[in-house]
Amino acid sequence: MSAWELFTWISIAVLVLGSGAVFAWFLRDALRLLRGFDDDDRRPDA
Amino acid sequence: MNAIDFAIVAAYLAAMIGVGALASRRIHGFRDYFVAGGQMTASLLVCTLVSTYYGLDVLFGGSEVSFLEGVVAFFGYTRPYYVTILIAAFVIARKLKHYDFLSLPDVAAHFYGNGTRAVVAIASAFYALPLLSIMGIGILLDLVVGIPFVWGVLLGAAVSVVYTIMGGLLADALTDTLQFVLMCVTLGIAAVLTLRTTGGVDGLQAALPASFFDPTGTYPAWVLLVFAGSALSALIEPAFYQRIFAAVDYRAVVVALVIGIVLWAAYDWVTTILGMAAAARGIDAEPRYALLALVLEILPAGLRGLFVAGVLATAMSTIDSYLLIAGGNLAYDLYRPLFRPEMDEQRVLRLARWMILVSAAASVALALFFRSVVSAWIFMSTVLVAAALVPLLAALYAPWRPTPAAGLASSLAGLGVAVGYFVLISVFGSYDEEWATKIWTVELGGRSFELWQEYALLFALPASAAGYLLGRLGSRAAPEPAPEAAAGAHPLTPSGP
Repeated sequence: MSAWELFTWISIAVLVLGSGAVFAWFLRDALRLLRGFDDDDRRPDA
Repeated sequence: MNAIDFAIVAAYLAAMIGVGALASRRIHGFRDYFVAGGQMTASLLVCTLVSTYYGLDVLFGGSEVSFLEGVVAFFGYTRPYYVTILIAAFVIARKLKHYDFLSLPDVAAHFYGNGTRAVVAIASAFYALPLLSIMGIGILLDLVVGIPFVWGVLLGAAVSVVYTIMGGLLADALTDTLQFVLMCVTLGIAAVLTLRTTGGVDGLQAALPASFFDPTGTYPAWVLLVFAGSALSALIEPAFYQRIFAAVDYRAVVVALVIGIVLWAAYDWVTTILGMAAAARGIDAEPRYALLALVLEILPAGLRGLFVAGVLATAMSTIDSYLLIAGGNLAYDLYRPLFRPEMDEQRVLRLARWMILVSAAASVALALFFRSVVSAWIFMSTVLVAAALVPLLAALYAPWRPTPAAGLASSLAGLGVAVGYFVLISVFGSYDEEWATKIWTVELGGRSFELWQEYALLFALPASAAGYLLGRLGSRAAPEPAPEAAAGAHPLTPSGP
């Protein structure tokens, strides 16, 4: 297997698995984000 | 495409509008709308940065170069961006996060006043017009579904505009997360299936000329220099700035940009390989659509619909973000400071929504002007770099105090030379089929020089630097910024209860 071949398969793995991992991380943060907006709404000066 | 493919695409479009409607319920002012209330976490920043910055210009532009020239698309065209993005993350973002800016022209206004702000706002709004992605949607729908080009352009622009107008950056970022996964996963699947038919990359090496695997390709050195120079736009990229200002803290910006670079590099390389695979298979299409034609030929039903949704996602994640920036620049950075400084937040918000519509109309109108995706991208980058890079870097890092005349002279000289050069080449140059660009051959002292359309930056950036120095020589140092201006550069009048 050439270096080009290896680099290509690593790139494909990073693209597919990396984006999936970042999306899972986002789902964990999503609730906090929406809650942050709600908290801002409840501020007296909002 | 069959019924399953159409259902996938329709479900995707409906989901985008649904997210826009959901986000719109949480928008109460321009700050919520334009920088999502400063609440964006690192994970959301990764999704929105990666999907926003990579539109059809990268997908089609990168594969256009690799289809014609090979791996130079990665090494010469896209790789310089990673260096400038790292500089933006570790050097510029750190400094800017100390301030309470909302936009790139806000930065110019803080250091140089409203004159420079207006020039940078015009350059930023022009740069942000997503005409390439809008054009790409029209071509995609024409090729795949048979919808006439004009209707495809209007449909793609309309869906993006609807959810962006409703929910601003929050809707934009939330839809970006879905679009981010869709565009990365579908490109990965397409690459796996394509490489199975070509005998892997080793099969491409056997089928293509050796120059396709030369990192510098066959481009003249000046063109590679211009490719690298266009990467400077990452230092003043309005979408980066907007997200830096929207981030919860500086650490989130750095983490997002470092992860983003890894994903961008993977995306760029896979795009490069797919362009080369199209060349190896002898795909008969315009170079910029070779990747699309190849993938649609290889993928089975169902996956084809998923890929089309992925390409739509690639385009729409860019269209929504940049329309938001262009609309914000026109309303908040141009109209309000020049004509109605007393405007309150609600009115700025309403005007920004109208300006998004105006920007979308301008993008659609301009979409047919350029022949090469790469040429158009480089010209738009040149306009922004020429108008904003020198004054911004000088304001942040020069040991002397910024003066309004220096900022204005620099941004005007850069913008003027970039546009003037482009007009000259358009009038006197002729279209070169081999390089897919306009070239003006000038005879000077018995020698002939080829001036490519893409060389504008080589003239505009020195002009901007010269303008800065002349402006500085011709003016006295500006007074210290007022305390309220130093603390924040957007004295929007709050409105509402």
